[in-house]
Amino acid sequence: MKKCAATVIMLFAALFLLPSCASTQECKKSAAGTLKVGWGRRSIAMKGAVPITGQFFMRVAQGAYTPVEASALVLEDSKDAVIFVSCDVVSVNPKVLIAAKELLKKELPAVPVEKIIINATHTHAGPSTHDNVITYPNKVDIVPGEKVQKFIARQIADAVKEAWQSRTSGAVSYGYGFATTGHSRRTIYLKDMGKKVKAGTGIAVNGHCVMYGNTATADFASYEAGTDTFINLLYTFDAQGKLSGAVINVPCPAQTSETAWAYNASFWHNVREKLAARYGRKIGVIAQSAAAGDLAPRQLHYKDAEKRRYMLKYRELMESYVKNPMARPAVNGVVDKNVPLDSNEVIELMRAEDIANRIVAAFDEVLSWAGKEKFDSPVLKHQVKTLRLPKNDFPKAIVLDEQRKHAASMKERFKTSGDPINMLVHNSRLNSRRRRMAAITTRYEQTQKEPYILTDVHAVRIGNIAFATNRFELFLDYQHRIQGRSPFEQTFIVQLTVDPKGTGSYLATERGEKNKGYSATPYSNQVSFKGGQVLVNETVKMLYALNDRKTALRKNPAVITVPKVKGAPGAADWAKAPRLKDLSVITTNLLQQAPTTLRLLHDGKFLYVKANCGTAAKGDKVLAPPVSMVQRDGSLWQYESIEFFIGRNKDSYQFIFAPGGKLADYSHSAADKVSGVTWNSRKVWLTTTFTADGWEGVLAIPLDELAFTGKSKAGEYKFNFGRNAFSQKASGMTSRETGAYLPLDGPFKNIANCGTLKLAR
Amino acid sequence: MAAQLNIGWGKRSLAPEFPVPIPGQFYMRVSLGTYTPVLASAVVLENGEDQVIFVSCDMVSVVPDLLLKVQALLAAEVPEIQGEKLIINATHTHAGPGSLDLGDYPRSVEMKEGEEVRIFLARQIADAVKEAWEKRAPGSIAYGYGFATTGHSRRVIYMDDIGQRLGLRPGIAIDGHGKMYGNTNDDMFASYEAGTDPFINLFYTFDKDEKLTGAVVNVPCPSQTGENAWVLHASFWHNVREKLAAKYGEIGVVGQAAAAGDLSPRQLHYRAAELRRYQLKYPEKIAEYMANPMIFPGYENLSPEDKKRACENSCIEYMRAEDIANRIVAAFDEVLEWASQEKFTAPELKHEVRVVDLQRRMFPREMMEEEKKNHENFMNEEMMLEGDKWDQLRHNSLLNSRRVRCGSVVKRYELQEEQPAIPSDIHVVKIGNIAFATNRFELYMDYMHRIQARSPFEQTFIVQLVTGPNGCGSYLATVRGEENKGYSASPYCNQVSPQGGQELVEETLKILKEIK
Repeated sequence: MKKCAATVIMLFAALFLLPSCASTQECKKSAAGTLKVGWGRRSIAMKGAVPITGQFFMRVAQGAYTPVEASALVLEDSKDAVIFVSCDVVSVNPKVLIAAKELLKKELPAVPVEKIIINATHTHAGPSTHDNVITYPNKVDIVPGEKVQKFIARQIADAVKEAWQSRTSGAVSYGYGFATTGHSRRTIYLKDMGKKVKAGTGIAVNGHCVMYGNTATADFASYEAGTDTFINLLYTFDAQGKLSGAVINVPCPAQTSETAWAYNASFWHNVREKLAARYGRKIGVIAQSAAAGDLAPRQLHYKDAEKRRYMLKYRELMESYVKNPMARPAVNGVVDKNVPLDSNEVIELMRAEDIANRIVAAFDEVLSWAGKEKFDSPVLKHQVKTLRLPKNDFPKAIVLDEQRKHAASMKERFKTSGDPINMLVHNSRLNSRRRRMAAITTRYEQTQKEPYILTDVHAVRIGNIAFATNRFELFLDYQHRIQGRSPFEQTFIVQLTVDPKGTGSYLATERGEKNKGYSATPYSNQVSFKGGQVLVNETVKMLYALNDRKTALRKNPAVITVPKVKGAPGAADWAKAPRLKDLSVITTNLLQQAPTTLRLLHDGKFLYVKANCGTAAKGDKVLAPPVSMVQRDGSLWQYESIEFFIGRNKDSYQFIFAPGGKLADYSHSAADKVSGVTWNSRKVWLTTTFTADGWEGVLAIPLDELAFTGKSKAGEYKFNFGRNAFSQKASGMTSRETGAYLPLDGPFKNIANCGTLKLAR
Repeated sequence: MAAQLNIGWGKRSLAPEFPVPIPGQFYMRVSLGTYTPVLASAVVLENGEDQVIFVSCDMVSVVPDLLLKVQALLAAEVPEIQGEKLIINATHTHAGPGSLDLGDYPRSVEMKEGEEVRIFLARQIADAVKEAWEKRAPGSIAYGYGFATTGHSRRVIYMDDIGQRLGLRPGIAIDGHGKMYGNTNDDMFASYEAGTDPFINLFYTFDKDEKLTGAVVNVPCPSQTGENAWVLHASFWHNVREKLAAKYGEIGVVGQAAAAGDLSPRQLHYRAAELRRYQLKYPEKIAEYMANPMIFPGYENLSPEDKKRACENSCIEYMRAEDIANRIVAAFDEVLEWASQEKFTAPELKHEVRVVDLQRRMFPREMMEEEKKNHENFMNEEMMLEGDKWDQLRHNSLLNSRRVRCGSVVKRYELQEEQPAIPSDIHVVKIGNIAFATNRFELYMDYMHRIQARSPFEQTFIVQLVTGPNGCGSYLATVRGEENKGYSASPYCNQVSPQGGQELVEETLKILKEIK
């Protein structure tokens, strides 16, 4: 008897293979590719006393310290298109999107405006795109919100027009690397800090979490979700193969210098400058923030070390800055120009420089290898879907509490005299707090009538990668959920994209809600963590649809009733059998899933399992086990094969069957001394045939030979099945994929909690 | 003003000529050869007033008896060396020589083990230290930190209790909402437990002519790529050493894992993207590896096609080591560039060694009873006495591991009342404005953040898996880890409780503040 434990255990382990993408459809370099690429950009640094939002108080622009821009990239292939626009603003009001679309419809109707994806980089020092109606005493001249919206819509429309009109045949390549950009900003404490660290009414409610909380304290426990150092990159090239730009996606909002009174694009400015110096001024950059609701550019420990790093690394830059610092308003007639070298203002700028250096290093590193594989005709598909997400449903007690706090805040007074800037800061902050408290009541009442918000989500496929957007400041865990389950090689999550149906807000996780703190309280959360999971599930569905795969969302455990037939089933019987398909992919190097359908019938004596196994693409050759292979060979799983598991309690049987009539059967019964011994059933039988697009096989399992320990219901079994899909393309490239019907991890033989088979009487 | 610092470097191979056990998995492997050098690297820092000797060993762990043997050799041969000032850390490569006693199961494969291996290793480590000591000469140091992605969280958290789905894994782990290396392509996948840490702490040494002589490189990542290998190799530290040697000549490298009990080099999502990255970035290296892969039992009997297939996974692991090494070296260069502007020839050097009592992880009687049953079941399972010798080795050593793990829970339960605390050795070293703080555990990352954030020093290098006379190893999980369960956070793996973890934090900080 051959022992097979070691080899069989590898079955559902990760199969890392060495494919080359060079022969997939996407990689084919045709004489003239279908993809057209165009870039455009415009300044959005509106002159005048434009409001800058991002803090609880209002600031007014004192000029531009760095350019702030709208950058546009058009990717179009005559069948579909995507237009990415990134804006150096904290968020983009839906009115701006609507206005920009109107302009484009009128001036350049060929532009498919519904395919525009505008994201805010979340710099806290860009022109505000919101209404900014001043309802409090104010002596500072401020450009009305409506005017700013109109200006920015114009600039965005012009950037898009330029990109559309300049589009020419081109190509893309993609890859990922590592660059530390954001750090967790949610500090968790061993005890509830709500009373110790008061956040202020209208701002936040602290619990075990305090945003940007002090870590140098005995109660400090951890960062909530840690960080993410991945950087996703999509490069574009012109028809001559020259780099024309890139989409850069990092999980970090661009919010260094977040209290500046002058326009400042944060680290994206430094990135653009560095890339321009390397690759020419015309290089386009779409700057995207991946999910980073709980991340920020700030380090919350090692602050002295950070300061020393900058002092030693960027001394000259720091010295030149303090000689010519960012403009700030006069307070009581005096402009404070004294900026110490080690002040927070200087540190913030160096932080931007440091982050930009890491982004650019990763940009170059990834380009060096990803640039080898350019795609001039990638599949381009862009889907927009309106989702319904459950609102944050907080209890009435919170509303009553906020009403009390609001009433108290109404007794606080606005400043009506004194320095205009001091007045603006004080009054706008008081106004913000009042509005946030009042909003709790409004939202509570609205939620009673309509418990869902509507939100537009874009999912875009470009060859083997995808983009998925949302309007939120999305907590990082959601990104991992989507990326972990996405069928694409890389999935760029883009947060803070404009949604005509509403503006963004933090979307916290369940652990976030439990820990509280700014960004995870009813003040900040329109949508509940349950809504966050709906966003994840719906996004994954959209991604699967774009990938031509069926959804992987299966309820676990599944219950399947197996119809009874008389004797060995014929074609008419099989037509009535339940069809089990859509395997969850465990490992793959395939873009399109190899189709698998399993059908089940029984006649009281045998359980019949019929598998239809297609190849991923027409013409692929099934990699069947060699004819010379003996029956019950332990390495059968290393070839094209189906694995079927049936069991009860802790016992299970495993059947691996493959084209060419090869079969291996194993018993994993608890009674066996050695796990995974070959079983050698006497009555099991198998027939297989090759078909036009793969193969099929019928396995008959003798029910009376299945022995189990313990008691369980007659005619009920646990089951699962998987496929090792191995095929070869005409080019010689091997395609391999392993998938399981029910989510499976750990010991594959353990199916006690998998699906249930009920044999019909 | 402190005295002039003397610095010396030494190294020795830890790869014996004979087959040795390779621990790191539940089953035992035996070395079939050496794929990359595995080293003991030593750096001595002393100023006549105090001393510290850092030694990194390319091993999964270093048993206390090996430390004692090294100390005894040095006491006899170089009495000026203070044995208690030796800080020996395991890099945690899962393909280093094993210094432990293997336990009670039939041996089907020839190898040297236990005491014999320790005698060999002790000689090599002592010689590395002696070399460093003898070569010490006036020099200077510099330090800084940068960023290099090395470890990823290996604790996958699910919305449901995945233990219910997977069933029991007696002697291995008790799963809950957490599962180590869990599948992220699962509709119940919620998050990584604590995320990761991309910081790299660097400490450089220079000779009197300001030429770089070596560095202590500290990353929160155990060097456990290629963790199923049947040949000795040092994981990414080998690649780092080779790259630094190519750039700077034969310099010394002490490779330290910062707190990384919940981290590992593996990415748990973006696997296809990772594969593509390596294919496009390292085609020559892949070809080179596939032409000369790490072998394993039965390799020679495979067909060429099967050999290729069987080595694909270890190839990817090897490329992962290469990729991590490239990031470490990039950070090394970046930090060196600015940090070397500030060299210290006479930094204050203080080295405290203490034994701290840490609260034991307690568990209820029912759990002990359950493990007693599990232990009995495993004792009733038979060892394999015939058939393929490698199958026997795998089966018997795995069965032994499960017996030992279940049995140890029973034993530890009995100790709960009489010994509620576990004595643990820690070192705290001040070198100018920075500090090193050691522990014997596979320490969860959160503890490191707690120490670093509250430390009075600019940078605090946490060094895990440092052996002391009182013991070495075992995971030290956090409260959230314990709640989520999974391998590394169940009583099988935890000698010390999260409260004990916080005691470690507080005791370490107390000393840091004292010596500041």
